[in-house]
Amino acid sequence: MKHFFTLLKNELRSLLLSPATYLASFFFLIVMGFLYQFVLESYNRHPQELLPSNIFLNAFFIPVFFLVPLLTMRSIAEERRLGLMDSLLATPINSIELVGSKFFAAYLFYIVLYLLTLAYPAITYYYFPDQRIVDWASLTGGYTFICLSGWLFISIGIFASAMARSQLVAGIFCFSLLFGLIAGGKYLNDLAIVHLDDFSTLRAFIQYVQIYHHVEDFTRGVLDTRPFFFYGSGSLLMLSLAVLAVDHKP
Amino acid sequence: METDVEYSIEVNHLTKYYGRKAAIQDVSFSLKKGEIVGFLGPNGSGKSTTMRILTGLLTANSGSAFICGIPVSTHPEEIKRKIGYMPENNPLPLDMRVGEYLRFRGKLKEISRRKLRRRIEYVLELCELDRARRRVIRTLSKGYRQRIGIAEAILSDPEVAIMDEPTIGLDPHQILKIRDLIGSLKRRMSVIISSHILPEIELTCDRVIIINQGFIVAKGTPRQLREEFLPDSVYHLEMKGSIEALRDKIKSINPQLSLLTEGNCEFTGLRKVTLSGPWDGHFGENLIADLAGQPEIRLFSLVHQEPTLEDIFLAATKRSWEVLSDFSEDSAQNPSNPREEAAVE
Repeated sequence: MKHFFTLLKNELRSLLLSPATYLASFFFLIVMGFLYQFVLESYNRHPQELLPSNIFLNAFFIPVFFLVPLLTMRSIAEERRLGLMDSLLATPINSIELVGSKFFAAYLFYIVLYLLTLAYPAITYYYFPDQRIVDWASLTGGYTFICLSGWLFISIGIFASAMARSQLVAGIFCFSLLFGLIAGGKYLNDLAIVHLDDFSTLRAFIQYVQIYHHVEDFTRGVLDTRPFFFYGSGSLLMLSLAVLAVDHKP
Repeated sequence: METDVEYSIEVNHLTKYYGRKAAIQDVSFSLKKGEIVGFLGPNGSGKSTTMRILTGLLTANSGSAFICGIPVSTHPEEIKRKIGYMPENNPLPLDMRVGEYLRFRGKLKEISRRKLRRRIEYVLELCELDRARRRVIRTLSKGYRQRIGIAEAILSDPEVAIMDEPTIGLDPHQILKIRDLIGSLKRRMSVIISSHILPEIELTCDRVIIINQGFIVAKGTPRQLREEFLPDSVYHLEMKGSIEALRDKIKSINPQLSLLTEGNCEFTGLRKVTLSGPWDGHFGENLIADLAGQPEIRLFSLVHQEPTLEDIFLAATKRSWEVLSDFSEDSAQNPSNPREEAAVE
């Protein structure tokens, strides 16, 4: 892995120079800002079961659907289209270092962007220092979930980019995979047939991959090891597939 | 691993299929150390596929390739330390500065920090890029970008440089510079270049390999290829007088000399005649001396035209197409006929 940091540095540099990064960051912070404001307003109008910070974190999937594709779609697909992949792979680097550097660069950016959204509750707490409005414990749990789930979401984006030659196709493919994982899992869990006794194994699996349940658990302070295994192994699987795609897709 | 071997590149019976279509078949050749070899062929003939296999980017279906004695298929990472590769269309990260790009690539090529600085200075000077080192690649002309590609390929002082179309899309001035640049690598490293600019190949390369439809149809020095494919040399004459007398005279100089074409120039009233003879005959001096003594003939000019590499390339590829089309007809009648036999023919 001796080329990893050289590649990572270059990836971070190109992410910082890419207009798509700033576009994604801008829209992300705007959407998250409106979301937080909406949560506070609804909390102000009617009594809520959950704390504002919990509701805010439960809506994590809204920015994930557009942020992850925008951050990752360019990474491999565009380099392959331009032919840069060939000239990179003709040097003594290997595809694990290449995919790893792209993953970590996008992941670091993803985490930095989410950490920036901590400014919203911090500003609110500055003016209204009340635990009922800003609960730092649930925020810590929620942001731990974001860091953890980010492994899987970003690796899905890298995999989608490794499978495509066009960044647009990579972006759409990534969105579809994320939508299938997040919303599709919830949809399957709501199907009546899954709750029949004959499908108990399937039901157990579907509940295991319920990302909504994971975020609720984390924001309530329940730290289960199973999500760590799910996101860790899922991320490794996606990155391994991305490595195979880089090695074998011309 | 031992690298003190005679050949920098050795390719034996390489075959690569894309689906059911063969991109290259039974390709074999070798490059000695310090040799510059031109790899010629029409579009889609298999040049880039061969080069990509040599760089370890593609795996062949059968056959073997060695770089400095190291097998490419089993030691791809090892051979990448020995090669410099300039891919087709020379892709470059347009948002980087020239110096920054070379530093990045140098680190990937595992050049030590101290040596890297020296190598960057050296290749910038060699490729006349020192004034552009702080320029963003996007703002540079095509000629500069090609030179960046070559600078990158030779940055680590590799034993083998593989360049896929380094002169494509350049104007004549730029081609001249790139030609001199590649020529300056002679004896320092083995270079294999694919190109469509045949005069450049002829001037730069020690040997030429011609590939067509996935088969190697010719290889050797330009002289050897001339003898094989176009054994005749051509003389253009401008004269006044009797053609019959000329015909008789050239037979007396050498029976193998023959009159190819004759015509008149409208403006000068001179006859334009083309003669053909054996390539190694060197009849120019005899023709001038003998024709000057003929009262029926007044010789105004004589030009000896050697077949260019372009002529050889056209002759070699035409011959291979004829062989392959003959084979297609044969194989329609007799499907068991091996295609390789037709190629070797």
